[in-house]
Amino acid sequence: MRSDTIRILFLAISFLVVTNSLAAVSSNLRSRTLQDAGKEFIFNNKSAPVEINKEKSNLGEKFFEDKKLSFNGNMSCATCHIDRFGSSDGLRNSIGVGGVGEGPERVNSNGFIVPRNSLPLWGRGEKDFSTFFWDGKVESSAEGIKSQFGDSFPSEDPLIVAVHLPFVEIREMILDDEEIKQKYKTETVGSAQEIYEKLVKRVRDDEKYKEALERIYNIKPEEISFFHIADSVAEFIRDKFKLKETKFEQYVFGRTQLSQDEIAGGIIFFGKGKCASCHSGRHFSDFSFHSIPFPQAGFGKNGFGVDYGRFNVTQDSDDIYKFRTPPLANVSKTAPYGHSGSIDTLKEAIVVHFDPLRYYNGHEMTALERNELYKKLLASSGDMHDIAFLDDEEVEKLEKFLRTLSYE
Amino acid sequence: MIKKVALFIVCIGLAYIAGLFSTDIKIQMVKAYYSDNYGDLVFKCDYAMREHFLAKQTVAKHPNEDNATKLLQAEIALLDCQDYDILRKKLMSYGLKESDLAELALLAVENKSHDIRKVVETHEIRYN
Repeated sequence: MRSDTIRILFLAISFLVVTNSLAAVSSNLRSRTLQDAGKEFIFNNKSAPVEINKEKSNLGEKFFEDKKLSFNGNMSCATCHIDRFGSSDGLRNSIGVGGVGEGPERVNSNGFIVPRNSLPLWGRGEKDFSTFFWDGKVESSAEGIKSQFGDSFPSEDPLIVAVHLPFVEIREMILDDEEIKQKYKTETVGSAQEIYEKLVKRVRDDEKYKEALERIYNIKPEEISFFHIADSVAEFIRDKFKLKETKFEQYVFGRTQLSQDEIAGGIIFFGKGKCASCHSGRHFSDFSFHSIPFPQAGFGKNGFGVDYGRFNVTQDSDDIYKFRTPPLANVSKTAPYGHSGSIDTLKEAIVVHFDPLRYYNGHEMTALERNELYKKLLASSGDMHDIAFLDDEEVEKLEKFLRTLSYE
Repeated sequence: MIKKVALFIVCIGLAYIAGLFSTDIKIQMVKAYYSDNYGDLVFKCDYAMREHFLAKQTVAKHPNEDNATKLLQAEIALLDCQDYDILRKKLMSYGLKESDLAELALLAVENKSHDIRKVVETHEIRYN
């Protein structure tokens, strides 16, 4: 009897050891696979660290928050790039000049609607961040800087060029009043330059700013230009919003653990989900342009619920409905999602990639809206061809993985 | 006293009958417990294998960096088949036979099928 009991116990323990070993082997394999994938797709190219001039950055922070730099409105950069919304503004479409307050409070005020979702600023100052805005209207490549400035671009640094733009965007930081309509609504580099000169005069008239700019840039007052203002704002963005080590990066290099669900989500990200086809590199963006049929919230850049995306910049018919792959640093903090902020949660943003019709109700759409949807689906067919179906459990795990891309 | 003896005999009898069927009961319990999980993995492994095959064919026809990357991603996705294999071995160690596992797989096909066509696909004879 005793020997039978011992035999049974031995078999039971062996069985438990074997099955748990199999599970452990699988777990170790997944862990190693995810770490290897992280090194292959994301951390394969260490960019040189950006050196920060703290004096410039501190001055840039003051400009970032100063409403004086809104030509005839009550805006500053900080109006739409707010810390508690992950450096975005928590709104679907941003509310520009005329708006009051922040976040949802601003929606109920009488401000002009900016037809795109406010972009966060994480990593924008890194040397390898080459393409700015949803439609890539500022981009840096081997051929040089491409932007609305044409050949008169103010800097070789695309961030500085990008910083120049919101200050001259009508309805964003400029109120569309009679003076603007009469004098400046030509949208030429010349009219932008006139606005920059007026803003520079305000800054020059402020003794604190004048003295700081003279000292930091070693220039005379009459040499102060909008470039210096934009350069210091860019330095502040480079400083405050630089990429930092995320939980996922720590895990890849063996400095922390992830939960089983986070690991499973990572395996889906780099494997079945094929997310890394576009969300690759240190910024989790290929800086290329793709079409995913996110619903359109609001009037749209092209009006009547239409936004042609990259086509508005290139006028290339192949670019219609395409938008730059959004980087994913701190993505869990920057809701809502999509070029028009039409998607509320990270989970829904994942689902839209492979099942966009889940968030469309054909019966509640107008015929025009449905027509637009068919065109968007057609434009996205090339991109969506490779995207895998994920069940709800896989989506949840993928969401948990995406939350490991955050840092304070 | 007689009642106690009678009760004891009934219990022994029931235990004996339960013992006769104990293996079957155990198998049914294991099948019921793991059915959903196994079915899920059958589907996921099947999906992963199809995607991997497609990725290989795509690289063969259009060899470029993008397609090579997609093949790498499809290979990572085959980890779902690793989970499927592990669960199969676990269930077989619990005493399930191939026929029991085949039954669970068929139930998965039925669950994922929108209509009879998928069931037909699974069963029809094809000539290559």
